[in-house]
Amino acid sequence: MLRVDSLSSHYGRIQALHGVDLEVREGELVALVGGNGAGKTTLLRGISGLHPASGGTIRFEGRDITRLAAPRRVRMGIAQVPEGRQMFGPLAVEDNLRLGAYARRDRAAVAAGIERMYDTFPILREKRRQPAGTLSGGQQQMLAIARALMSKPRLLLLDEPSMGLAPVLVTEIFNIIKELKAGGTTILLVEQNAYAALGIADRGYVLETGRIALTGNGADLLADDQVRQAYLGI
Amino acid sequence: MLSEFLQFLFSGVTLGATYALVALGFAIIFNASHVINFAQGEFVMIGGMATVALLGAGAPMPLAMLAAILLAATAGLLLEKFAVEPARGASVVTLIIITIGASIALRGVAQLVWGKQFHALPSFSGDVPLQVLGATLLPQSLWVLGVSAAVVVALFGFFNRTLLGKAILAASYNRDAAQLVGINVKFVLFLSFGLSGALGAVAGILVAPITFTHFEIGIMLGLKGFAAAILGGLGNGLGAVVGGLIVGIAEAMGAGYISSEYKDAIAFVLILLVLFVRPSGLFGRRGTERV
Repeated sequence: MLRVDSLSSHYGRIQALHGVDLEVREGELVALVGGNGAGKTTLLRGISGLHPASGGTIRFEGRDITRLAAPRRVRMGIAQVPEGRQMFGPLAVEDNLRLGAYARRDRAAVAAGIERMYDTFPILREKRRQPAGTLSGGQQQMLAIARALMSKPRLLLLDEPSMGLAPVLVTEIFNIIKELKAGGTTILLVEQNAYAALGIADRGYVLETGRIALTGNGADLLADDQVRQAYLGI
Repeated sequence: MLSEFLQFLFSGVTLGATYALVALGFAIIFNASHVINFAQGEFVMIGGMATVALLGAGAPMPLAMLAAILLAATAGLLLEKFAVEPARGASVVTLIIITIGASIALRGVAQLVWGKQFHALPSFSGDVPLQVLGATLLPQSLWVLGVSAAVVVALFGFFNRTLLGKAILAASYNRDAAQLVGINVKFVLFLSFGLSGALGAVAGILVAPITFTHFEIGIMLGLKGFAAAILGGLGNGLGAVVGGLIVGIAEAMGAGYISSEYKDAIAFVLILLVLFVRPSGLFGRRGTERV
């Protein structure tokens, strides 16, 4: 479904990604783990189109999307839940959801979609008239996921969904991710919480200073000595 | 006593409504790009001057006005496309300087095409003043107030009730997130310049029968509108309207009770006071964001 070939990316003169290869197949949950500054967020921003590639290709369902602008990629079925949630703070929760479906034109289906999000995240229904910026961190994370789902993505990119959340909320967020996968959504999950991420993933990639250091299925990576030492602190 | 006060109030509110429209133009572009568009006053000038020129060429009044608004909107779109967009990625200060350059260029073109004379536009519905408690009120003032109010209500509806309006707000609150839901932020910027151009032109047409119009009229109107936008809190729609009215009323009262010599100074004294006391303006964005 998604195929990244020798992708390079720069911030000014600093190269953040050095020829990354990565694949996500239909229906898979793939985890991308690695330390701070390894390039995880840069890779996700490259896939969603927020950050330009300086080399390599990105293919989505067979089409080369390397040079497509981000809004076009949303229309093709790629949605990203950005790091730090990135609400439209002063706008109401419901407006954030409605804007999540900005690329869609089927009004009735969008309204039904919003109802479905409220069923999945009842707290959002309760707060639907409040400015998104006044929600707690966990509620904002749910809204960020719900907003991304409103575009009916075939591929969901999740960037650090557990960051800054209390442990009980982290568990809840990971349960939501599992449910999404069970519902058939293809997911690429970036996490510093490597243990939890690899635990629910079909496959995983370990990114180190802009290069893929290791890849394999989730359980194998969890058992790998190198991974355990470097990222799990065991 | 009262009649004198009312007289000043009428002229202040009329001026203020014009400043409010100019300030809204500043706010719309500022929200979309964080650029202060110093060519905003030139949109006002284009509105008045183009209407005068088209009337002179024999066009009926409503058609002349509509064409002038479209011309100013086009000027805004072209400014974005050929001056602001190519400098994307430049610092905000650079972009502001570009708009100052554009304002000088627009004035130059206007001077070449329309000449240096002052022009008057006929009032929309006659010049017979109405008597209100001893003060006189020009019918044109009512036009200024009525149309300005209608424009403000329409803008409010656009930004709060339509998906496109909310998308423009979303792009101003969070550019990355806006792109991630499929909003084309480049198009939003383009649209904002066009909308501001049209708004400026409306203001320019409305005041032309009262203040006359001239190729340099945009300098002062633009600066007063800027003062109003700062006073209300840059980027805040309600602030722009309230700021415009305050600047207009303060100016008229100052001219009436102190001296008309100081008329233009008052707006700038107000800016200085606001920047000293409350830099974010009366309705400036307060942080309600939890991170």
